[in-house]
Amino acid sequence: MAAPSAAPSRRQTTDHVPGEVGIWVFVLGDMTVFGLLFAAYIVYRAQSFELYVHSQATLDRTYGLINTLLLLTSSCFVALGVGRARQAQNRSAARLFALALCCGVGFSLVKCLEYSAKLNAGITLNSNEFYAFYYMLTGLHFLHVIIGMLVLAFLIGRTRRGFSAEADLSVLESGATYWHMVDLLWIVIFPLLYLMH
Amino acid sequence: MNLGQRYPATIVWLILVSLTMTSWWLGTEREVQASGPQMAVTMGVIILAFIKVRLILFQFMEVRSAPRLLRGICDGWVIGMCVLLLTLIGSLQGR
Repeated sequence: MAAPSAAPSRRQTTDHVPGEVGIWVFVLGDMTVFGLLFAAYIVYRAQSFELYVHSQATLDRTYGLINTLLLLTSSCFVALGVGRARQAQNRSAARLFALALCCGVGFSLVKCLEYSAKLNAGITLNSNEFYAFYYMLTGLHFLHVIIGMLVLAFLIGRTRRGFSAEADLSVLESGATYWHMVDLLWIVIFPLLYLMH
Repeated sequence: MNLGQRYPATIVWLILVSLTMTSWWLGTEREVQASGPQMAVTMGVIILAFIKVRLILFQFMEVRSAPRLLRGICDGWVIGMCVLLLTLIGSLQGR
């Protein structure tokens, strides 16, 4: 499982699992659960098509786009940060993780704006079937984002203290893998809820 | 330099943002031109989404240089999920 210290060949068959195997079991499982929710959404949507399309039109796509860009940028920062950490550039890595965390905070702010606008308009989880899916999918995802921000904060702390062993880098990679999953899930949720018509 | 990536993170980010803007354009601008549901738009944004998902998995998450089993599982998930959703959309959405 140790990464080779020599520069990788063009083929880059390092056979390196980024992070602990356990995180991948969790990530793939979580992705599958969400996948089933996505499928359920499409099935129910087909049964009440007019209702869904009509309700979807009330969603703020600009908020959704901003959130997508924020998460993509945060993933970029995390990927860069892991690279720096591998080169023992710990301060630089910590700074990049902090930037990713800022993106997460931005996402949360936009989410709160979006939710409060809906709630002020009287739209709740019980308003109709579409909104039930909307709140459930985005809410579940938001929970993942919050946990992800705690993970990033943990990574910042660990990176600052430095890495003494291969195992530390594995923890770092595990945290990064979780955050990328949070991004990945939103990449599907956004077009599903906000864009397709 | 990252072990598992073919492209630098910033290049991957540029590609992802471009795909996002394309999807955004499809999902918003196209709506103005025709009223009613548009199957092509729906399928288009879903396919674009899964292209992005695969990019994130194989580049950012470094599955590209992971053991063959993990690579296979991830590709299987991306293709399987995409096909499942497109099939459901195509077969259930009558209009």
